[in-house]
Amino acid sequence: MDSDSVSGPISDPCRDQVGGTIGGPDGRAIDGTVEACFGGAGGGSADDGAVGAAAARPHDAVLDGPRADPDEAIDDAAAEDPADGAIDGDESCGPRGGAVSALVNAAARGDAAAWEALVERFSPLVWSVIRAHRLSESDVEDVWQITWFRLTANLQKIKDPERVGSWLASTARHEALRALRWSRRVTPVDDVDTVSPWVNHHSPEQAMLESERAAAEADRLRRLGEAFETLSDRCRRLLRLLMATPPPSYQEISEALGMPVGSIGPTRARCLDCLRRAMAGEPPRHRRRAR
Amino acid sequence: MPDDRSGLEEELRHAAGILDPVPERLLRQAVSAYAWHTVDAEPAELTFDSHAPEQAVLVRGPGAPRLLTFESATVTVEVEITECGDTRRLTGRITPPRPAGIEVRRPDRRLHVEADELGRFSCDGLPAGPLGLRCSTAEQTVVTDWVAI
Repeated sequence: MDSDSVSGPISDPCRDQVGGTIGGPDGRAIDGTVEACFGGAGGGSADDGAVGAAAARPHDAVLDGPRADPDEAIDDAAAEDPADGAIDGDESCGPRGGAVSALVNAAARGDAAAWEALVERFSPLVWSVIRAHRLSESDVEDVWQITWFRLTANLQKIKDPERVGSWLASTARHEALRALRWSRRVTPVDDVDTVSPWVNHHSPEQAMLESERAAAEADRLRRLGEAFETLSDRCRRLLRLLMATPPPSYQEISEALGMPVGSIGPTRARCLDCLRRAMAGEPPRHRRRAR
Repeated sequence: MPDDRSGLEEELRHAAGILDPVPERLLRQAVSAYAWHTVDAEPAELTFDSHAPEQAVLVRGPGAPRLLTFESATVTVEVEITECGDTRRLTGRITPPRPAGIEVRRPDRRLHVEADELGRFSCDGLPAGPLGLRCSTAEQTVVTDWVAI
């Protein structure tokens, strides 16, 4: 145990779990095993196992999600005016024009239907961000829940509610990267890797049956999957993002992948060209310049 | 061939919709997440996380406790998470120090604990998963950002 590194002595915090705190300030008896919660930081001194002030000093580059600024509180009336919801330079494909900020503001005021509409609108985006990272099943669920839970706590203070999609993409990416980094010691994974839709529980044939599609279409779908698997991880990540319905804006993709907006278009073109060539059975061309 | 690309992209989108849609269970979770929304509480933002992806260079080893700082306009909540096998031990402190009622929020339950006059509180045997705190002092109520522990 690396006990010197934080803020001085941390006496093995696993060892003095319940026993050390039974006589805690609130005097509550603790029966010992599961989810025992109590006041005081542990039976001993204030420094014992407490959070070190120096180590926990606020750090200003931690969250890369959009930061809320209390000075830029949302003006409900203004934000609901579609004219005020215009986005500068957002290459959006989805329904916009103030509709999203109106939903965010309504949900912030307690409108559950507006929340449900937000979930419906943006869950494919959040799902695509998560699926663009190879996470364990439990991490998938954690990242998913954290992303939405955080939104509930931040509805009032999101700086640009029209861009809540970017906020969600950024939050999901941040949590996915954190999970990847810290799950590694439990389940080693290669790199930030993409879960392709084709390695899911369904086979294309089953899925097509379920959706009552023709066998020819299932075949096409399978070939698409085989071609997708030949792509670089960078391409698979970007294309997985693009598969969200409705298609994400470039701003959202940028937040989701940490990719500059300017490189999304050329990368998309290159990756789709690679995919098309792979489907046609052409060998991948290396060092090909994107047009 | 932009039209060709768009067509291929649309085909991929269609495939993902069939093969890898958002699981129904997760959709329901997201909808019911709204139960955690409160209009009257002051949000405390996560301002430091020793296990944030960009903090990885500072890693002190896999066993090192995770340090988190949440800040609202008036209150700072510092939390230390220690892994103890399959469960987590949480110790925390509110500053300025004061007694407070702490609600430890998990996706499927709420636990309650009192912070003492020095603002300290702790909680044992927490399973891994999302966690948020709601801290009620005499003056105000603060809710922290959610984190996965």
